[in-house]
Amino acid sequence: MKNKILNIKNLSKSYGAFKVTDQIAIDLNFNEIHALIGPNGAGKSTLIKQIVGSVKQDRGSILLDQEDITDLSDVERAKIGISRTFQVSSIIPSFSAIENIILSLLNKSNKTFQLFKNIKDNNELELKAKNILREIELIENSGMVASELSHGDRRKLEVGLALAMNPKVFLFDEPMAGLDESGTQMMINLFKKIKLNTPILLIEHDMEAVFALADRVSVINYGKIVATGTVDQIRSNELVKDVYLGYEI
Amino acid sequence: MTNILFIEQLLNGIQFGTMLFLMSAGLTLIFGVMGLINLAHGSFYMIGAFCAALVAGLTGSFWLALGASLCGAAIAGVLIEILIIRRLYRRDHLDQVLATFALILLLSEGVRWYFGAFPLYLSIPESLNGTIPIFEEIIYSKYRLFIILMGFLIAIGLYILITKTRLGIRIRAGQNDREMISALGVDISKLYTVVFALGASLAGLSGALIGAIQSVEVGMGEPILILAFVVIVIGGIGSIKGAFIGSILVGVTDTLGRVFLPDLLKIFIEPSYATSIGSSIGSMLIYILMALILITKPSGLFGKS
Amino acid sequence: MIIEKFFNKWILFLLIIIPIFGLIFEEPYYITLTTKVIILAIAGIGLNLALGYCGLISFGHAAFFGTGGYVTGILSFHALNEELLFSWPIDIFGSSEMLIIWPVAILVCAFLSLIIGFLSLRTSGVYFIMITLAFAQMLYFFSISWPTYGGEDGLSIYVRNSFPMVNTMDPFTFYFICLVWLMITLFISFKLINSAFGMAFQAIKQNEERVKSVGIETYKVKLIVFVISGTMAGLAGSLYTDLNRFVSPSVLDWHTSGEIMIFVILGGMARLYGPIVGAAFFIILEQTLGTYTENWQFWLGLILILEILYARSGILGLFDKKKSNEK
Repeated sequence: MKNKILNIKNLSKSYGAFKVTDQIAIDLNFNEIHALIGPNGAGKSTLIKQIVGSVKQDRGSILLDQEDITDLSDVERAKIGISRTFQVSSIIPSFSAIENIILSLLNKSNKTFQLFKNIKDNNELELKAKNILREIELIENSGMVASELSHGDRRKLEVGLALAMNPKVFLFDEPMAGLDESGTQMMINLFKKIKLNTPILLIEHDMEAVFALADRVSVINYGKIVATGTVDQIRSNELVKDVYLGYEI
Repeated sequence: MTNILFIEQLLNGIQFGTMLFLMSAGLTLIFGVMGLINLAHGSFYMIGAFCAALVAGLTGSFWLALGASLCGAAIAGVLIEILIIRRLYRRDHLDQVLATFALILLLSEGVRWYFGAFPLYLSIPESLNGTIPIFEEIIYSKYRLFIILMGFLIAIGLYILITKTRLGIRIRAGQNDREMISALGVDISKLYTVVFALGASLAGLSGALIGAIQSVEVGMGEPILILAFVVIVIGGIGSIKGAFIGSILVGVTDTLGRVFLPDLLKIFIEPSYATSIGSSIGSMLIYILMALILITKPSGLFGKS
Repeated sequence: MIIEKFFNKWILFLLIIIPIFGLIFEEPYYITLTTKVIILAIAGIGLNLALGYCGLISFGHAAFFGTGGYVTGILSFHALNEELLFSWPIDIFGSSEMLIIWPVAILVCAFLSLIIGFLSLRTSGVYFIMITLAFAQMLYFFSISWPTYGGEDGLSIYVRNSFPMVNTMDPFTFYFICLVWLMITLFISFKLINSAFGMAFQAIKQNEERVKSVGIETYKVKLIVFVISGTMAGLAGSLYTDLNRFVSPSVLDWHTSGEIMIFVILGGMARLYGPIVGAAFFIILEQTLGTYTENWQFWLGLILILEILYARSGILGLFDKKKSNEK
């Protein structure tokens, strides 16, 4: 179907006899937030790694905006429009918050191989970076060294780095992890804004966030997608309840 | 190029390879178990040779000298591990490289200070002197055969140690998951000291064995160390099997290459050029081999990527 | 930071004042010594880019230092002996003009570092360290066994190469030429570090995975840094041959690689003036301790070990309270 920005079919990866992802089919429409939930060990991380390109699949295909990216490397996929956050904040420790964002802006602005101009003189990049920092409510600490940022601020910075890439699709890996009430609310508001322009594949454990944000939800267990539907459909799905061992979700 | 010469050189290559194995096995074990890159490994080779020469000079017994090389290198290994090496396990590779490089300077100059700049001599014992006929036509040095034999015995010994003893199990487990085995109650620091001393004593032994055919001098371990690095890169870091196959491969390639490449080139090029180009390329051959292997398999033949 | 900047200015000041002192009091020894520090510092500045700022642990920079040295030696040798270097496909002569030798040395070393970098950067971690070491050793053994240029004994060039309008044999003149090169490499280094590209390679040192995930081709970045780094080391090697009017396989030996690393580390990694401080310290040790004992490297080894265990940020790091980038 032409509507899909991301179309994944039959994605499988095994380590020996152990099937980590098993014929996964999942897609992402324009302007949607598609949440992926499932217990730990279900295969979410490996799925992300395969989408992003750091792990090579055994079988399956990935289409980004109709283009087959299955054989592209991780860097190529990042350049072509897949932007992700890491489950554990992955930032450049000695750079300030704004410098981290500027790093992320380099690729799209074709400045990576600019060898001589002083980067600090680049007002355009600085402006763009500040705008992003405002979006993620990190503008006050823009000059703070990233290693000294609080956990919550680091999670925000993660999202900021992804935003800076101006990609075709976002892959957020547990972005709410460790955030407090106000932080979570900020993220929710932010994602609602983001999805108007760019779709999001959201991996989350925080159910409140999932319910507030998701247009669709898919449930993964033992490497397989066991259910897909709207939030209400998933909430009333017996199979899903089994997956979560009877927890009310 | 006659068959006899070829087999002789092949045996030389294997002999060289088995000594390389003694060096590389220790190096790769230390890296596999402790994650430590040890540039000073060549110094144990030197220390072993010097201990052997010292004891041989005092007692006149080659066999005691060999024992001394094992003990001396092992003791040096234990001391150095406790004083310096154990502070490096948590450091990154750069620190390890620099600290062990500094250690080479320390040890080499220290030995030079004590023993002076002149080489010592270690003689082949009477029982191993001379030649022995093998395969009817070939007359080969008894001592070199002895070295090959020792090398293989030690390889088998190591194999048994690693696969069939408790220490071996701990070593293999340690290669896989360091934190886990300490959680299981294995005394990590003792294990590390033992592994380090084991590697050191193997290096020391090979130093003593070679010291009898070459001379015993400061810095003798360095060319061998570089080759040992090539071996473990080719064989795959952490793999003893890789170290063995890599050593034989490197030993044979280097020896045969140096001897026969000039002759081979003489078929194509003018003899005087062939000799110099041949020996130059011969000396570079194993590095070319290493480069080729790394292009196709960046983590070596048997390494984990 | 302010103290560090102050210290940096002092270093430059000393690098200028000492040779002037030597000139006035007719003690060429001090001029030549400073020149040596400057040349080694240039090699260190090169390595610092790859190692200190980008985290590429190359233990084979002697390959470039030595190649620069040999290119210079070989070109001079052929010029002085009036022999052709090659006669096929075209006649290539040697040269004893620095203005010709430098571009040749730079091009050759750039090409060499491109090849070695291309192959080595496919590996990482320990493999990278060892493969760079091994490539340098390969060249070392090659130079020993290649008889035409002296083999193990090395190659002497009796007259230093020439530079238009000056007498390069005069120690102060040659010192000044090297000083200019130092300023140039410092400038290039400064520009690179503060550029967007500099951001990329410094980020790679800390978190390569993150850099890749924002769409930067880290292999390309590393390769370019490596080539620039090797080329600077090669230029230093060229000047070194002219300084000593001699080149031998020892410039390709891994000990030389280790020594260049020592300048970088002792002075303070990822600090612009670090290699200058490190080289100065090293030479001072060599000259002072070296007069007391042949075994001065024992003390060097000891100092280095202590530094690594207890004062990791190097000499310049001692002045800097902000140590977030170092251990």
